[in-house]
Amino acid sequence: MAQITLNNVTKYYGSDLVVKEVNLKIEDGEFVALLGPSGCGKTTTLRMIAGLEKLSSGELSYDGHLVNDQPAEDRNVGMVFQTYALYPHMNVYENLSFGLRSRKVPKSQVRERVEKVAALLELSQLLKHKPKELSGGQRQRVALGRAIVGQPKVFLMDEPLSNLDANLRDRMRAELAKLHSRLAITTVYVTHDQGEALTLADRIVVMNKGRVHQIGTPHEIYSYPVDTFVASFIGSPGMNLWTLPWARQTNCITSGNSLRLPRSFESVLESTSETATFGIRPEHLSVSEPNEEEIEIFCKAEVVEHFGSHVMLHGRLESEGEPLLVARLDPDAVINRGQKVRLSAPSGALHIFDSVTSERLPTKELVLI
Amino acid sequence: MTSLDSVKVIDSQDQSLVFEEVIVKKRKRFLPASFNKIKERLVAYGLMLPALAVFFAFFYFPALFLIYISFFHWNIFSSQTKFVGLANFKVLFNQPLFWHSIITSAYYTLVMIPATVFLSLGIALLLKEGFTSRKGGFWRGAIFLPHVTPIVATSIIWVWIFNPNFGLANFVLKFLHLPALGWLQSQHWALPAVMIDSLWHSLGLYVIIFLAGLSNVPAQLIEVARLEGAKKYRIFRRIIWPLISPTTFFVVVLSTVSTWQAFSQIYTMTGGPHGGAGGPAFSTTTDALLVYQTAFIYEHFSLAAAMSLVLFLIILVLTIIQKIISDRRVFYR
Ligand SMILES: Nc1ncnc2c1ncn2[C@@H]1O[C@H](COP(=O)(O)OP(=O)(O)OP(=O)(O)O)[C@@H](O)[C@H]1O
Ligand SMILES: [Mg+2]
Repeated sequence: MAQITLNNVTKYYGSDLVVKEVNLKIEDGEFVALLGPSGCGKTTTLRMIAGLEKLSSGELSYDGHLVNDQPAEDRNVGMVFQTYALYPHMNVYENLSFGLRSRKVPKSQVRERVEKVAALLELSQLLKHKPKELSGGQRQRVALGRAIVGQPKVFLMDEPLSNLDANLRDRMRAELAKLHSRLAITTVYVTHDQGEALTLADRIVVMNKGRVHQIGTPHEIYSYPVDTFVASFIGSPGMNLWTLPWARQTNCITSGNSLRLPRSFESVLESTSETATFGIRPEHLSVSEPNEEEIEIFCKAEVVEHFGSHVMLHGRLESEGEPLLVARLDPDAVINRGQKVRLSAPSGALHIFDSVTSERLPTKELVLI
Repeated sequence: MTSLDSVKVIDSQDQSLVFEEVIVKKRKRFLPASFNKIKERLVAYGLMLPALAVFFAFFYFPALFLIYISFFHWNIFSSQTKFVGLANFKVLFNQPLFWHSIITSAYYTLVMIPATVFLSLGIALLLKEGFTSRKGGFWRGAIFLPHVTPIVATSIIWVWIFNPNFGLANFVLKFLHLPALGWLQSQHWALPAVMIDSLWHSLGLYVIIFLAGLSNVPAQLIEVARLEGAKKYRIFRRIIWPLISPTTFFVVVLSTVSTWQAFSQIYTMTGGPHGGAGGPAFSTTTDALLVYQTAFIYEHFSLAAAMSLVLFLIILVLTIIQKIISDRRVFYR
């Protein structure tokens, strides 16, 4: 098992900057998810960690030893690809044992280890089958088994669940969590599915356009997004973000007729110019009467969707540009189309970002004090 | 404006639909379904007829006629045709030169096929590893070029290269401090010289075929194998080789057929136009060459036909054997 350090890791393809100065320290046994939209450089980062791709610049170390120039075959990492990449001409047993045989593990031990892993992943009955005779979930388990049978120092997975149907994906996700808690191998897991990242990972690395935006626990990422990208990317749907001018009143702060905040936010807003980006998650909005300490929002309802367990309200603030609002409300909220709605949110749910740099201003920390 | 346009489009689509429906209905009313089918077939065969006629006239007919005359005494210059049963084959099998030619052909094929497979696969692997797509394009072109040049023309160049006194081949040998060879004038080296020419000429095609086969091996399989600690040779032996086996099989069959039929380069290089092709001392007289000489130099057409038939049977048996092996060893996805 290993600790992995990325120090200013950068990757160019030709003149395209694909991964930019990534700094990341992955602890021994930790489960880290790389999360970001398509094309943001997750796979490229993972492949550099594996040694399948050379770094353009920066340093990569395993347990403090620089491995920039160590070939992939000497790194002892197990990897699961999105397409599984099972050897199509070999049966399950041969697929599982190929790596051990490559590393010259004695035959008797190979059998023992393959059978143990097969039992762990419920593949014992399938050892004679070729990959094309397996179901998607079974193939996925073979790919997992092949990666762990070599007892790797590091376990790398590139969207391992994305080829499975929704049911199977949930089940395999639980299996992965179980497997990790059992083996405690340092794991880097690439996904663009935030649900997977939030449920599986100890820490999440949120990336966009080759750049790391935030590294943190699922709770930190969700509750303290460092910028508007993370705020809008995490959550389903993502955070409401409104860039609005603000003004001081006698005992509150307002933005036109659509937003009212307690006066305590003044110290945060002072560092901005006349406008700031305000953020509130849809699930933190409600139709209850706000008190002095809470935040009040007015909007016009456009679409109301009933989901049984909740109601999704899509509306617009009545400010300039009519910014969109999404709210996840109690199922018994009665709202009609076109109606003007007053919503409230606890002041702890408000995020404020600099409207120029998009970076977070320390609101909640302030409120918590 | 745009909405009007779209309305028009929908309208015309509707009309064509209606139109089609009418046609279908009319057909159904007047013609029974089976008649339509027969008509369809007639049209299909009618369209195929010209191609079939050409194929029959220039391919099946000569092939069948060849089998026919191998049981007769037949000559292109005389009208006398006499059934002789297996007499032609009897003469053939009592001819030491015939057996010699089969051995020569077998020798030629047995060297050519492994050489073809290993060289072309080796070059394909190098091209795939060593070059980006742009440079690779240049080298692919360069390798393929010999294959599209006429073999008779290039064989004449190779005659020069193999000239024992001032040819390039001996110059290279001398440079490497190896003894000079007689090449085309030597009983032992004439056939190898022809092999070198044939390889040079045909490799390009097989390299391209292998490149296509290699590109069908998913890169991720090789990456996984690397991550599992497999070194280059093991990756080749256990992953690439089995996965390209259909390509290898194809190349083996193709090159078997073309080597057994090799004629032009042997004829040209061993002095064909001046007579005496197949020498020195019949060392390059392959089956195909003997067929030619028997027919067109000695004018024993029936005998040559019998010989061709034997050649055909040999290739057929070889291909069947290869097929049996392939069914057991080739991995199809
Ligand atoms: N071999 C390559 N040559 C050139 N550009 C590449 C190469 N591989 C990836 N890229 C580019 O690098 C960028 C990042 O790709 P990468 O595969 O890392 O994205 P990703 O985050 O894994 O996306 P996805 O979620 O779609 O898998 C993309 O813009 C892609 O076009
Ligand atoms: Mg990817």
